[in-house]
Amino acid sequence: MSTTCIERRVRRCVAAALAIVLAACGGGSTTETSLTGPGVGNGGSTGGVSVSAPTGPNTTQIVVDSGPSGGFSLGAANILYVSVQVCSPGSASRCVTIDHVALDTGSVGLRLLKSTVASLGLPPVTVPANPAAGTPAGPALECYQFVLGGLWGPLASADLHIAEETAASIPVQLIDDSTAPAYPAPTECVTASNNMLMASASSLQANGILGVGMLPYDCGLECSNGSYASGYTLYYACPTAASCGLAAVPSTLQVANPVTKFAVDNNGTIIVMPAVPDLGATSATGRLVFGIGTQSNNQIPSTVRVLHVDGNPASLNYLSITTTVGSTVYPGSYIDSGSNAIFFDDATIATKCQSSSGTAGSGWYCPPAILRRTATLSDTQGTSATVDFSIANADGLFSSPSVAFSDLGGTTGQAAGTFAWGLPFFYGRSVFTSIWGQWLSPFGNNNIGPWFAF
Amino acid sequence: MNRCRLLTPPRCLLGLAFVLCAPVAHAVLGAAEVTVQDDQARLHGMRRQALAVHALVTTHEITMSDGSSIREFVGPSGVVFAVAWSTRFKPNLQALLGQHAVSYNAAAADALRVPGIKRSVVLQRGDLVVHSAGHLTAFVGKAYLASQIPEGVRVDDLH
Repeated sequence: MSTTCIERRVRRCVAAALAIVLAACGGGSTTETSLTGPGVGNGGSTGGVSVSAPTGPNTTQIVVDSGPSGGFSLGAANILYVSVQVCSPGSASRCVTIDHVALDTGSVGLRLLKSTVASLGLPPVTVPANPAAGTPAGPALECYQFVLGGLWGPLASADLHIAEETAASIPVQLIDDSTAPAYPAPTECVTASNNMLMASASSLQANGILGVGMLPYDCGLECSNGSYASGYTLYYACPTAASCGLAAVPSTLQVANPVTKFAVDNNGTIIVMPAVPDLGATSATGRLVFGIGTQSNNQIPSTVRVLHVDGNPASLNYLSITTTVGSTVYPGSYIDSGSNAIFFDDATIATKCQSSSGTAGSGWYCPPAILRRTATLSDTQGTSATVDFSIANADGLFSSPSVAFSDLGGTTGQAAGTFAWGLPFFYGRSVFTSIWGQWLSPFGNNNIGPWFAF
Repeated sequence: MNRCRLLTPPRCLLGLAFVLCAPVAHAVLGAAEVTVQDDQARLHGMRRQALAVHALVTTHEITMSDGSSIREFVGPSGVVFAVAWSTRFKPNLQALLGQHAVSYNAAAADALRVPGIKRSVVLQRGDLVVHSAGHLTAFVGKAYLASQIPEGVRVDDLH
């Protein structure tokens, strides 16, 4: 098929979808999500579908593409990006716009490569002494942890502008990417991070992370008390470069969920993405909407299912819902835009991928033909929803020029019990993520816990 | 040895194991059952014997004030053959895996050659298998020694 033919098909598809949208909305405040790529509009596979997305001052464009300049690596795919404007607190002129910040519902807080905001001279966040917790007074630094790898750097105060929303003077983390950090990472932080402090656009595949997950702070009460006994220390206070001690950090100084600091649309987000065809797309453009039920453009349709996560910190499945596929139950399940695939255990799916060998420890799935499955997502409140998903051969996907894949899957190992609905889940959907503790519409119940809805 | 004679044989062995293992800090996976108490001390946790997942398995559960918990599974040989966790902070697997942390570190370094955020991984190196996942403030996972799983015990039961 020639490129022009594909383009014509894409245009026809978009035009048709647009017509439907205009008919449904009376030409109101919506826009189209969109796709590009050789697989788009291919009649041989399940096609991509553009969907209508809200516009307005509480919305902004988001995109899955080949990432920030500086190199794209095999295995890096399905990363959702947004642009943010960051300013010195209170300033309208000392500002920078940073592109390719990963939009992540699996973490909380804004984290930026320090070099991206070097010109702003952002004021550091300083924690007061807390003798009971053994915290010295001094600049606050954070050792933020992923399952593998971590981020080290100071906290600073900044204004965030995104869409037409503002979060003023919020604590953010500056990921120290300087060659000689003013505060070298403590040994414990390096160990916690599996000797991999991610401090570059190439290691992060992003210039930063905008964490808009379900919690108001990246830590909470344990960090307020400085009680890190269950794992690695998150916050440090460093009176001098050579003397960092674990820090009790009041919640007001912890890295905050920026959404909670907006004036109005502060109780959650909606991520709207087009459906991506089996063969993938070289880019996928959607919309990030702030607020749930706060404006005419972010109401929850009656057809949407609201699934509360387990809100009991002592539960083995804290902050999770349940996914069931056939007779297999995954009690530790969650929806996460920061996971780049669907990660679950299914021993019947082949993992003998070339792209897994040597490098990708997580092991992609490589079935000989595309697999189509149906899952049931459920919560403890008795709500459930059915979801169809596909797993394609990762080798085949990675050998294409595409970077947005609806059917990329990886194993978690035998009987892991977790099911991560990563970015593939978001394609073709509007996914609502509420924030715990914020005012919510009648759909959510803070006493139970925060919720996903789709 | 006088005290040993006063104890029943299994308790004698436990005491002996404690003496032998005492200088080893936080060695757990692959080590003797008594090392569970090292973890309890390190984690400032409460320890109890949890419901058995299998007749051949003793499960020690350490719970912490923030809701986190770690379970350590001991087989008939008296060796901790698996650990599982559900924690608010990323757990210290260097301590939990003991001598097997070397294998974990090597496998982690391999996995980290692929850039980007890591939230769900399975690491295998030699006899060691580690499942690890985490989002927000919820880290969950398990690690086990494949050759040490008692006959009849399923990996599915260890959580």
